[in-house]
Amino acid sequence: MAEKQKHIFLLAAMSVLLALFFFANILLGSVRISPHDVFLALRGEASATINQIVVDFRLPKAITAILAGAALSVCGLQMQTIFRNPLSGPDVLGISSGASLGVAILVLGFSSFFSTSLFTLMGSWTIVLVAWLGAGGVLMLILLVSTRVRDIMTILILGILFSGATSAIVTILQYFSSESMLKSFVVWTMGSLGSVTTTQLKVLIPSVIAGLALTALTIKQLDVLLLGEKYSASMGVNVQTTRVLVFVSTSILAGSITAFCGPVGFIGVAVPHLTRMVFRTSSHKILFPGSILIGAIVMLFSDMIAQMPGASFTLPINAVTSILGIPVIVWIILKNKKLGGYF
Amino acid sequence: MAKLFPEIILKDLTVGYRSKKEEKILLDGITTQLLPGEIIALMGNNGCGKSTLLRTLTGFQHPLSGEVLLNNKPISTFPMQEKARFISYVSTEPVQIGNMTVFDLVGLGRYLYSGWWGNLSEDDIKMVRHCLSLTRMLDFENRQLISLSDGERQRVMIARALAQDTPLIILDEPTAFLDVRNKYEIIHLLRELARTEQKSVIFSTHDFSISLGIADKIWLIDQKKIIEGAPEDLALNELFQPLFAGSTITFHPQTGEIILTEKTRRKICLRATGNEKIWLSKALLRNGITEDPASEWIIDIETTDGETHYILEKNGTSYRCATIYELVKLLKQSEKE
Repeated sequence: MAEKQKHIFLLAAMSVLLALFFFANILLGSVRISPHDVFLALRGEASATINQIVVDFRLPKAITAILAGAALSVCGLQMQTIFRNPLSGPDVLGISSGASLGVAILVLGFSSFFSTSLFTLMGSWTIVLVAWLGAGGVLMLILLVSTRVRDIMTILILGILFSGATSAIVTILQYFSSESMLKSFVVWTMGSLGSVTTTQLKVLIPSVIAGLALTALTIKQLDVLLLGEKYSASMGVNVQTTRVLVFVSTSILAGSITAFCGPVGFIGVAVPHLTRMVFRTSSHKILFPGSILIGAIVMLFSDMIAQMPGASFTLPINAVTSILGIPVIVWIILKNKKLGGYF
Repeated sequence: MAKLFPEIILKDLTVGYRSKKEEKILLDGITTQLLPGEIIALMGNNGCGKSTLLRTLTGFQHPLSGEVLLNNKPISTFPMQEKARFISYVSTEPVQIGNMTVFDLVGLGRYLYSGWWGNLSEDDIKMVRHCLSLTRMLDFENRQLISLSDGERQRVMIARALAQDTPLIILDEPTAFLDVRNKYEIIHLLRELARTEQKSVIFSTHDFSISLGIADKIWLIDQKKIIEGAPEDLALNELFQPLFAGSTITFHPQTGEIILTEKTRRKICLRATGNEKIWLSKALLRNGITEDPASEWIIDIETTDGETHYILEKNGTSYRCATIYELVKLLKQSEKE
């Protein structure tokens, strides 16, 4: 089928693009390093300083960008299908703020008793775990509500309310916490890919892979779920199991990324739409790898903008993704007028 | 496709809602059986339990008591995947999915049979095409779902249900959003499918002319029971009347039409034949005028040079009218005088 070949070609093209962006991302930064030196550094043959910049700083940052982009986009894709709502995504439904709340309680709440610094007391796993719990908690609430309320728009509004409530709690925690803790937390909420160390990647990589693997299990069901839960049940899909799988994988993916990079907005909502636009299909068999690739590319690109080549400072990644993502969403809304018909 | 038609029995089925506070029974102790090749129209007033019965049959909802038996096993004991091999379902809500082709959608009907990632085998593809051709939508297979008209989309949804390859197809108001032509075509198509594919089809509807004209059997819900039979049996035994109890309309046992019951205000002698007579008496009936050969008011129909005139004779004078509308207007005026 011609359609199938087109999709395979597009996926291959996106992979090449991803490789290019990956390399460009490593190449660019406040210190100018030639492509040749980057190659040498990747093989460990460059001078000590360049080696350090590339291997210890830029490489983990680029890998984090790929992981964050892929994870958040896949979250958005799953949620948009399962809620049958084109505006769902980890940040819109309060999943990310749930993860933030988990981290805030840990960082601001406990540390005010123990007065130790952010990452010494709790290992990377602890941070990830509370973020998972926070994200999972909000998702459970939404799940509970969605069994009582059928109307998906109401659920979306409730998600926004939940995220408002969690922000309120975070604000209260901030009010009572010490100045140094507050600063490290505020910096964390701005989001940063560069703060992820090689050690933390050892936690982040398996978490994201586990989340994506869980998602892969639901691909066939997600296609049918586009028709809604009633149809899906009548067609033999175990809707309950699929929902649980989607929610667990969303919590793992969004939670892990939020834990290490802070809340990263709008990638989750915007990328699935970009992917549908590029591939012109509703099949998750294609949209799943497509979202991973496009999400990673968009995230690498955002990071390159945040990095401001030549400048010595870095913009908060959350600000960049919002500025890039929101116009995409506005454009989608304007283009389709009626969102329901779009996906 | 040559699946053996299973025995589907509703046994003492009681359907409704149960909450902590109360139990609301909509249908009480229904016992009946479904046969292959039959199309059943489920009728009844709003809120009588049509949708609830369909939901219970589909297994979305548990019966309050009694069972739906599939080959002597209660349907509630079947796992989701097994149930979906026996019953497919088409809902009222129109489905709109962007970037999905007609073929893709019907392909989803093969969910139970397709591969790990939903890959369709050669046989699956053949089956999808077969279902599209049965619903006469094969030319549309590469069309986007959102570009279809309501009637076309309904055909595609039926093709999807066919692709599921189940002996029983349940449709909740399949003609709700359709125009007259599509309404008849869809139901006609369903009947054809019931015959040729030896399936059992149940659909709920409010449309009298459709159920009377096309269904093999009607399930009429009245007072928590199902009255079943051929449409003609129900009509002859005046079983449709409960539907209109306490309202100003009645079911006309001769014509199968729903008519407004007007108090007879005047009687008139009608000297007419053929189509003119049929349509004229309709117009008169609507205005509370019934036929009576003994009446002194007489209506004649005169056709000269292909032009029809309606002539009203009363109290010695005669009035000529070119249309039924004019005649009725005249009659109304004379009444006021």
